Amino acid sequence: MLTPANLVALFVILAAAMAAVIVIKPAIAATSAGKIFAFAALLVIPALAGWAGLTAHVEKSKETEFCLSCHVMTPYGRSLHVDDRGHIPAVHYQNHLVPHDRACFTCHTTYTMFGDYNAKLHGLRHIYIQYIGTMPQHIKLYSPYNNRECLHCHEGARSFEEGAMHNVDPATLPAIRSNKLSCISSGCHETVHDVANANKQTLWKEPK
Amino acid sequence: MMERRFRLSAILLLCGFGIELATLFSAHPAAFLVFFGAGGLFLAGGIGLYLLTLLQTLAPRRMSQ
Repeated sequence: MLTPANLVALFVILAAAMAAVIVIKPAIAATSAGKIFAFAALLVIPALAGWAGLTAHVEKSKETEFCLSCHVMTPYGRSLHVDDRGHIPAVHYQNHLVPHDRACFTCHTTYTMFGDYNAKLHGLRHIYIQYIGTMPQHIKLYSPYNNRECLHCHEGARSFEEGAMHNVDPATLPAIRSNKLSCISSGCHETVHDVANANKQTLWKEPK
Repeated sequence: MMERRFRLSAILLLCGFGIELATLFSAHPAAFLVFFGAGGLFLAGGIGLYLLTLLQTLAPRRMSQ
């Protein structure tokens, strides 16, 4: 199947074949046509292949499988399967309110101009901590969860705009929109990744 | 001399491509780390050596002109 990763692989194989020609016959670069070939084989194509590889890896790093491949994330992955409608990540994951294969990234990126880049920079830091640094005892967000991330999908939705609890007080919706009242504050959608009790909860069995 | 450097540059690139292919289909942070650390180093080394060789061969010609 021609997936983006397969296309990158094909391009890398082509680039490798061109570099192999230079290894076998470096004298080719002495002719005018050979100079152009060497320029492409040793500069242009490798730079493009490297960029394509980096892009493919960055795209892969957005996958749920990637995030949950670290041991420390296991309880967070488990919390996506909790059989309780009060658990926000579980409800989103199990009902495909977020893409199944990008569940973590969808909620944990920031929906700003450089949000994806910031998320990737944080990801690099996570990789550093995973392999070189010291894992913190308690994992927490860099900053309090911003309503902007929820509103990216929920704003304008009938369930949000006409939600009973959202309209009890006319000041509630403006407070949510301005991030003065957190969506995940106490009394609202407060159960988010309850990893401390993840082992005690009933889990939903995901169909294969 | 130039041919030897081109060959070395191509060998470095081949190592980089090999690492890139080996890590491309894995969705694990270690794969990203190997690609970025080792693969990136080989690719940058190969490209850098080629550019350096080009600059060193072009510079004496300009000086003589």
